[in-house]
Amino acid sequence: MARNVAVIGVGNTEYTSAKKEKKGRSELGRACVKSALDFVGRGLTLSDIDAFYFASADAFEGVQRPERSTECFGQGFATPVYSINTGGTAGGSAFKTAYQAVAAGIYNIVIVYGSSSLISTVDAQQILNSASPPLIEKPCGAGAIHMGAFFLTRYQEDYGITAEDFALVAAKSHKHAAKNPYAHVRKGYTVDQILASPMVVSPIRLYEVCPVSSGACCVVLASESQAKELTDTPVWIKAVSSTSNSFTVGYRPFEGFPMLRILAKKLFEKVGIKDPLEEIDYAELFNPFAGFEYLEYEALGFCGPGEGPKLVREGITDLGGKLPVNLSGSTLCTNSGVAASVTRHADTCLQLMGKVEGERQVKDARVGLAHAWGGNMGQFHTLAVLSR
Amino acid sequence: MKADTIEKEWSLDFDFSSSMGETCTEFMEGLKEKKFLGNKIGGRTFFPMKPFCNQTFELPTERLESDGSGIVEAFTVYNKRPEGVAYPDSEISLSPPFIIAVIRINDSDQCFLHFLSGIDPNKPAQLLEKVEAGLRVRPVWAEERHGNILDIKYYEPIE
Repeated sequence: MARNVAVIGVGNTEYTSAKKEKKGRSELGRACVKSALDFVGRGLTLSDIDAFYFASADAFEGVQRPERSTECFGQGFATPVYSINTGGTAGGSAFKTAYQAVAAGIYNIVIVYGSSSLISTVDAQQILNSASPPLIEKPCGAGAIHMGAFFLTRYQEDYGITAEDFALVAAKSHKHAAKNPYAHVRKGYTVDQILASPMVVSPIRLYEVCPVSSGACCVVLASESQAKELTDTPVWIKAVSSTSNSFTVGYRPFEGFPMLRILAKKLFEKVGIKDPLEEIDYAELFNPFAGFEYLEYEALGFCGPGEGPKLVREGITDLGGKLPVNLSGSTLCTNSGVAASVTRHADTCLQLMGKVEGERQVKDARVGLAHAWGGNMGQFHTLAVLSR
Repeated sequence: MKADTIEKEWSLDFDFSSSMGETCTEFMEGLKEKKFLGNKIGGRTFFPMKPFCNQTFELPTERLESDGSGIVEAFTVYNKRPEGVAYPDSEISLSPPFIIAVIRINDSDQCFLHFLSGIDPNKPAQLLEKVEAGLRVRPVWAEERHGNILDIKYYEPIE
């Protein structure tokens, strides 16, 4: 029988441009882990942590096995450090793996650490482009953004989605990121500013693409008895799951995210969610390109095909709506590499704990959903259902 | 039998650059001035200086300075010139065979590695005898120093 497991703490560092980061990898790690220990308080120290789950995509870090060279995970106490790499989803995969270890009774208190993976890259595109299937897809110069664009042009064609529709959902993220102390791009770009920003890879405009950020994020997981001792606001992990898709992008149907739809269906069945729009109070969805948020609404069953923009136009997924989504600004406004996938979980937990800063707190949020997306263009998805 | 399969060659060539961090920067700046900097964290001493204690997360409370002299704790003889050492643009001033030593400064809780010259690596008996006694060594500084560990060309025994 699996034990109950809760998220009891969240750690962050300041988020800025990766090129402006003045801290080294270990200094960032210390700042992040210490902020999580301080968040929990009640005398929790590094020596109480039974294991660390380090999430990164090694190729971006410029070192062999970056978890070894980040010297702040209790190495002095011989604490085990596990490295999890599923590209951009690694934070979600590490969250799942850590949850399983605590649920199984192997560990009592663990930390899932999302590395600030991009601080050493001179041009992240060099590495992103090298992630494509090498024989046929990579020689076309196709990297993450191009692959992402295929899904969005197809979405436009299938449902008559307009440039303004994409700008609307981008503006929702930018508006809230402006008030999020842990966001990188806090400019609050409006629909008009977004539509006037340069086209990067059609149909994706500059303000509809995530930045290259620095900053690390972590969450502290604890078994039920430890959680009850250490916090008055535990966020229980109801279910976590992940899925994988083909490496070859050409194998995908480009009709939304069908693997995410299957994953969500199974996960919601498991926890008894029949109508996600009615039963989920808050969601953090991975949106490195703003339009992805629509494809995710639809795959997650928040609305029918082609109806994503309607949810934003009617304010249903905005603050005060039925199911607010991405009030952190999400990945669109802060993409510190793999940390961003841990952040989806951290920000969902903060909402459920009632500890969100900057006039973004959702009232009485009880059930949350955290999503991570990554690998080679949505090769992997993870979902976690969380509850106060 | 079909014809041979096609062999595809490739290499990965990525550019990286990042801040060494505040403490490491301070240490490297010290090398330019022929100073080997250390610090105290929670009663323990570190040469070279360390940004924080990785057990307690305490920050340094005191900055320490030394001329870089220390004792050899362990060593090995390198018989081949190493390819792609930490700073490939820096000149290694020794020809193989040469010695790499583990050096401790002022009872530091942490040692560091550097080249050791002035002892004949072809005479292992002499080497063992000297190091067993806790051979005292001092840095030989490069004329031009750029703020990396090879600003010290190598270490040599203090006679």
